Amino acid sequence: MTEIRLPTEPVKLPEFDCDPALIEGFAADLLAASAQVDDLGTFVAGSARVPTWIGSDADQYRTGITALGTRADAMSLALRGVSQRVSLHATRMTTYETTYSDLKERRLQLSIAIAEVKGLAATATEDQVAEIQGKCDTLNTRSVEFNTDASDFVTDVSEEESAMVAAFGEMQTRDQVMKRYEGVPDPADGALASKPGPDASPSAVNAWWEGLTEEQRQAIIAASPGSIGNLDGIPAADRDAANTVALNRDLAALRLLEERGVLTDSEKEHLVNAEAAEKGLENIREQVDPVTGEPILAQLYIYDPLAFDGDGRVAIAAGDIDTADNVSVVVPGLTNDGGSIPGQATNAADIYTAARYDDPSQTNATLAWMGYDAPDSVPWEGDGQGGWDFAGVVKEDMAERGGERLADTVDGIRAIREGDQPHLTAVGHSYGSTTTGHAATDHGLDVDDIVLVGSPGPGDAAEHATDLGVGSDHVWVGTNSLDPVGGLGDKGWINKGNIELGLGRDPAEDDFGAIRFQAEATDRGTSLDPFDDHSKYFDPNTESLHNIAEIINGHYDDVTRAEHKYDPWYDSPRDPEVWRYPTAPKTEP
Amino acid sequence: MAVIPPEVGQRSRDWDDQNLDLTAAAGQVSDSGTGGFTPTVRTAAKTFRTAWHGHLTTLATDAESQADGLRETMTDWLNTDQSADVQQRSLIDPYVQEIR
Repeated sequence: MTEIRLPTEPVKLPEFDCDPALIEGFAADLLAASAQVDDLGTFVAGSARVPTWIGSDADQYRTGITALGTRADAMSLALRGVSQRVSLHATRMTTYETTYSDLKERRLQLSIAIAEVKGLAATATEDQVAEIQGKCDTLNTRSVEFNTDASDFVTDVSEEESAMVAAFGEMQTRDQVMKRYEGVPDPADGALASKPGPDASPSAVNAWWEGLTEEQRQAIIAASPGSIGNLDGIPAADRDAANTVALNRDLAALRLLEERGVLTDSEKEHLVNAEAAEKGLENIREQVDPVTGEPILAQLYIYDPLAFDGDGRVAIAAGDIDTADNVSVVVPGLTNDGGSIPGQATNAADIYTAARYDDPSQTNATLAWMGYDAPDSVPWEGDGQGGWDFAGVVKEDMAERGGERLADTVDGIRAIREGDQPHLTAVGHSYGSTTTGHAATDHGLDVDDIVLVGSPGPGDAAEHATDLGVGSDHVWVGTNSLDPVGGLGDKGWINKGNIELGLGRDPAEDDFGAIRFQAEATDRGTSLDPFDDHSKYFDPNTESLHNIAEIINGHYDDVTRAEHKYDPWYDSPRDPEVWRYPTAPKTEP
Repeated sequence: MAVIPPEVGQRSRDWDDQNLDLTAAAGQVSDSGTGGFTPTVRTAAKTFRTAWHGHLTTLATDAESQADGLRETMTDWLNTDQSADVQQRSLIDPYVQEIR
């Protein structure tokens, strides 16, 4: 009996347990701390010097702080450097996690196959030997390859671990830090000196940013996050990185003040907005992409928590604005501010999910854009008696100003996507639809499609859908027939419906010329709150969300059209949608 | 003794703010989790974290010392004859007390 040479056994893999997300969090904390130390250096070099103070005390003071400033600058660079090394470590460990997972699977398959062939070999007859030997040889080759790959994996991980340990050890003491970084110029300084002025176009900003080295860009993100975090023309990933530094720094500083009970009123508002931004990011990351099963990427696109007298200016994206095939910008309405971004972020994640579920072949990003100062008042509580005061409380001035900001944001997205333009959709809800209307009529909003939901009107300058500048076949309107806000816009040629309550024409009416899509809710009219139907447009598994997703994906033929409202000369306005039975199309797995 | 401009008072407050911000940064570093690292790296990360908590706390203390030093200088000045200038005194006086 010819002996069969059995294949080599695959080596056992060592334990490999790490969490790259937590490692990245460690890097983020170090980076935020380095930004704080950098602030100290900037303070010492600037306003701390008090040039108007003269005399020996002043001289002594300035000498003392100069040494402190030098130390702060060096420590900031050191901490930043380690943070960046930790971030690289997180990236590499993510790769190794994937490699490890693949190796485990390969080993399992090999072990099964080898056990099988061993069984065959044990009972083989002479005429089966050649065939079984062939199988053994093939498996042996695979096993040897596996063992080589496993050995390489262990070596690679070990080398990376050693490098990370060394990086920690090399920047441990003050002496080490000063020896390496004392007097070393910050790459951010020179780069910021060439930054375009405040009136520069997003394209000019983008050209400047792309012209910097990676080291300079990372230095600015760490040392001066506020200089680029909200700057149109900077790529979303870099804005997110800068704003994350600013957010983490704010949270650490403000929570310490809160613990000590010394928060000022302004700082309290600041903390509310910072924590709201943190929660908004969490709300997106808690949801998973229906195609990949991975958490949805969140980007902090605008973080300006003290803007608008403390109301705050914040925008958070679900998905990657830098690369998505389709980008939508959602503009919220009345009473929203930086503190309400968590709910808006959830809406953005729901829209993202619906769009991905609708068409897995396309990539998406949805930006919850609280980038303007929306009215604080609620019109139905405006007269203090629980009655209506829409016209008295809500004017178009804030929508006009917000419209300019919205158009700037969209121009910024266009600039960062130069040569790879996404399909861009603006989605305005409630007063946000008026803001969107003004962005279009007053500032040439550079989008492909405009969606108005729950709209009290797109502003006085939009008499007809064509006035919005994207073509009437790209203006889409969703109005729940029982949404009282959606019924406010002017109707007919003498507007018999409700005199001057709205903010321009009712865009769901036939005369306006937009495409109305179905947006009824199966539970419409069931709440005691008459305004409940005004806040269902982004709810999962609704007609509205389904149709918004179709529009965002450019699937125009799949949008379910609704009959327009109309206003007969002999009677009050009519809405045929009242009589239609609502459906509940699926928008998520 | 030279006249002290009111900006010195404001700078003392700014140094206090630096102290608080750096104390927060020190806390942020020391609270940062090292559980994501492999065991081989985790020990080094913890040692680094402890060392830097110390560095940042020292910077915070140094900032507080600057604030205290300026307050001391202002107090000394107010206690000299030159502080007889009532208007100047009124500008400096509110800053002698540490607020936070």
